[in-house]
Amino acid sequence: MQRADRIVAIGLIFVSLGVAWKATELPVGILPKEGPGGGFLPFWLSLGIAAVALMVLIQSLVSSRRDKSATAGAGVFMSREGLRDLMRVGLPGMIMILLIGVISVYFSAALFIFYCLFLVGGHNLKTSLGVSIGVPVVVYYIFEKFLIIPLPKGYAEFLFYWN
Amino acid sequence: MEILGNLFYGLGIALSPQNLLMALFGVVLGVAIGAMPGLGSVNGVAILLPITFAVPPTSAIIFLAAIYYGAMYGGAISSITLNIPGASTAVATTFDGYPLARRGKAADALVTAAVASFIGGTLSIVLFTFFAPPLAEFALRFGPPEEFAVVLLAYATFAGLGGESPLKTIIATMLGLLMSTVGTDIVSGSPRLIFGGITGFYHGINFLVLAIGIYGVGEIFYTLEEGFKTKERYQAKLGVQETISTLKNLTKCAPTIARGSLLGFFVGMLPAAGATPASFMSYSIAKRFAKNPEEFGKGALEGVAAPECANNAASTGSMLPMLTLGIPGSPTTAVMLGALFVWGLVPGPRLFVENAEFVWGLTGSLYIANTMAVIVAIFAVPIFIWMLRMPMTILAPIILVVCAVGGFSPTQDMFDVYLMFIFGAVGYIFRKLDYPLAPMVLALVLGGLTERTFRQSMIMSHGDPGIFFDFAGHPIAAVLMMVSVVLFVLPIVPMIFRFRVSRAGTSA
Repeated sequence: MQRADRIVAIGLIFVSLGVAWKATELPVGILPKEGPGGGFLPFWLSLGIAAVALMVLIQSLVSSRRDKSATAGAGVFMSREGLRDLMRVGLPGMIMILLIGVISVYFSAALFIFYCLFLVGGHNLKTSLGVSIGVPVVVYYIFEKFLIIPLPKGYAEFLFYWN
Repeated sequence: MEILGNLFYGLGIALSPQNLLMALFGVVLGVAIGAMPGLGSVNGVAILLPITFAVPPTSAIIFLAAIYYGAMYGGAISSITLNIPGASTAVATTFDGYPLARRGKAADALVTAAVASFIGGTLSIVLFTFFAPPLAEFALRFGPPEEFAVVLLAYATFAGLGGESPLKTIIATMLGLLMSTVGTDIVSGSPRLIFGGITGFYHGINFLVLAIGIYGVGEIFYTLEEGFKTKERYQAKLGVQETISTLKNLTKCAPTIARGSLLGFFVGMLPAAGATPASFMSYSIAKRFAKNPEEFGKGALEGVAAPECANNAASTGSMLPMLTLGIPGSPTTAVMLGALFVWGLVPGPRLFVENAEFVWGLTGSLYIANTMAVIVAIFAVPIFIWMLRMPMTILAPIILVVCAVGGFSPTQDMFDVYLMFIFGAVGYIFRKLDYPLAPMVLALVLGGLTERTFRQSMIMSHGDPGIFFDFAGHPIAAVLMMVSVVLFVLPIVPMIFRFRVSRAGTSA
C-alpha cells in the first residue's frame, strides 16, 4: 500500500510538471489591466499539485522511517486473487470499449455481456443470450428511436440503415 | 390578494385536461431521462423541445417545466442505486445515497429523496408565487464579482468535507480545477492544454465523463476485486412497513430540508449559480448543523435530503430570472429561454402583464407537476429495488455498458468514452489510496465558472483584486467574500490541531 502511495505521488509530480510546461504556451503571468493570463491558472495549479504531491511523498518516507510497523499505510494494495478477478472482467471491458468504434456499441455490448454472464458468471445459455441480446435492443430503442441520439456504429453502420 | 386570485386563475389553466396530461407526460419522461446516467434535465428539455411546437405556448412550457422537475427527481435514482449521478445536480446525492443502498436501505433513501424534493420544490414555488418581481430585481444586481463570491462560498462550505489526509484533499481539488482549464481559454479564445491538438480536448473535459468514470466504472472495479461472484450486491427490502418508518424518520430531517430549500431557492435564482452549487452547499451545511456529522458519507438520511431539496428548490428559483429578466439561471432554463423566443414571447416584467395566462398557468402547473413527480418517483421505487436484486454477475456488465453509453451521449465523442474508462481506473486507484473523489468532481463542475467570473471581475477592475472587497461598490460580493474566508479558516484550525496530535501520537 505504501509503495503504491509513493508511486502515485511520484507519478503526479511528473504529470503535473509536464502539464505546467504545456501551460506556458499561453501567458502565465499577470497581464497589465487584464489580470491573470490564459495560462496562469493551469500553470500555477499544476506546480501546486507537484508541490503538494512532493509533501505526500516526504510524509510517507518520514513516517515509515520513524516507525517500521506504522499502521498507516500497512496492508497490501491488491491481493493476487483480487487482481485476477479484476482482470477477468476489466480487460474484456476495455476491449469492449475499444470495439465500440469498430463493430458498433450494440454488437460490442452483446459480446461483452455474453462473455461476462456465460463464461465468468456461470449463468445458463438461455439467461446469457437473453440479457446480451435484450440490453442492446433496449438501448437501441431508447437512444436511436426515442431520443434520436445516434450511438457509434463503426463498420457495422450499413446494418442499421438497410431499409 | 391579487396574487392569490392570479394563482387560482393559474391553477385553473393548469388543471385543464390537456395541460394536466402534458404535465404527467413530462414528469414521467423527466424521471426516466433523469435516471439515465449521462442524461439530465438539460438533455431532456433540449431533445423534447421540438415536440412542443405543436401545442400552444402555455401547454408547451408546462411540459418543459414538468420534464425539468421530473429529471430532478430521477437524477437521485441512479445516484442512490448505482452510485452514478444522472446529472451534476445529483452528484451530492451519491455521498450518502449509495452508502445507504449498500446497507440495504435503498428504499429509505429513494423515498427520502422524493419527499425532500417535493418539500423543497413546493416551498420554492410558494416563494416564486409571492416574491417573483422583487427577487428578480435583487438577482439583477449580481455581476461577475458577486458570482465569483457565490462560487467561492460553495467551495468554502465544502472545505470541511475532505478525507483523512488534508494534503490529498488539496491535490484532488486542484486536479479537478486543472481539468476544468482544458479546452479553450475563455478570454483570448486560444486552445489551451490540448496536448498537441488532441481533438477530444477542444471541447473541454465534461464533468459527466469524470463522474461516470470514477463513480460508475471505478465502483465496478472495486466490486470486482471484492469478489465478483458474491450472490447479491446488497439486500434491498421494500414494503409498506419500511416506507412508513422512513416517513417517520423524515421528521428528523425537517430542519435540514427547510434550510436546504431556502438556500436552494436563493442560489438557484442567481444568474450563474444554479442547482449544482446549491446541492453541494446544502449538503455541507446540513453536515455542519447535524448532531451526527460523523455519519455523513456513511449513509445519513439527512445527507440525501439536503442536496435533493436544494436542487429542486433551485430549479424553480432558476426559472425566476428567466421569466422576469430573460437571464437563465441554469443550462436547462437557457434552453427554455430559447423556446420562449421561438413562441414569440419576450421575457421581462411586461410578460407578467401581457401574457398572464402563460406566467400564471406555468406557476399553477408547478404545484401540480411537483405533486405528480413525487407520486411517480415513489411508484418507481419498487422497479429500481427489483433491479438492485439482480446478481452482480449480471448487473456489472450491464452497468459498464450503460457507463459507456452515458459517457458518449453528452458530447457524442468516442474520445470521452476512452477518457471515462481511464478516469475509472485512476479513480479506483485514488480511492484505494484515500484520495477523496468528491472535491475533484466539485472542482471540475465549478471550475469553468470560477475562472470565468474571476477573470471577468479582474478585467472590470483593470487587474485590481480589491474589487472583491469593495464594500462601497460591490457590497454583496464583499460580504459573501468575508463569509467565505471565515468558512475556509474554520475547518483548517482543527485540521492543524489533528495533524499535531497525530504526529505526537506516532512519535510517542
